[in-house]
Amino acid sequence: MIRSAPEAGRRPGEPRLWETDPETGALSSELRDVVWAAVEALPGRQREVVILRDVQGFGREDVCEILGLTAENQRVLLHRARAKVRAAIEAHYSGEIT
Amino acid sequence: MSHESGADLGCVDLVELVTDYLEGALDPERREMVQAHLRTCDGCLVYLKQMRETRDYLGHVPPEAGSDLPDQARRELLDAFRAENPR
Repeated sequence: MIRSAPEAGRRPGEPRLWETDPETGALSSELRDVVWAAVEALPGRQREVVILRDVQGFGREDVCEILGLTAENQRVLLHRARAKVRAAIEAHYSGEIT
Repeated sequence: MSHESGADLGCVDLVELVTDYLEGALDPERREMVQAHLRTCDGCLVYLKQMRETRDYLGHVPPEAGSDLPDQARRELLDAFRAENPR
């Protein structure tokens, strides 16, 4: 099942906390582009789940019903999607340091 | 990073469980194992925070849209998903 696929996971070493604007919590338009590009690059089911759950804010039961997923499958897809978006954000911050 | 021994979770396990943890989907025993690991592993604690931040960032895209889709667009999106995924 899907869980055995390789993780789009962490790089070796200690991850760092990201620096976001502490005053507004606002995302730069550049970062929004990074996040959205990562979403658009996801495989279909992962993209659908993460858009409904995190972008649109639907609850997990609704998403399971809409997409016809079991609760566990939904979590696996959500996990893979978030892990890839996280990796994209991490790469963005890592590359940004000049 | 912490060591892996016996029933203790390793960092690799935590990476796999972090979404289930954030979703509140772990049974109490595994939840406590995750929390025990997080107490001793700064790297995984940062990873957890990054995954939370990722979830929150995702609430602020797509870049060209306003904060929320209008109801009409939301209904259309739902209809499209349902049409794509007949049950």
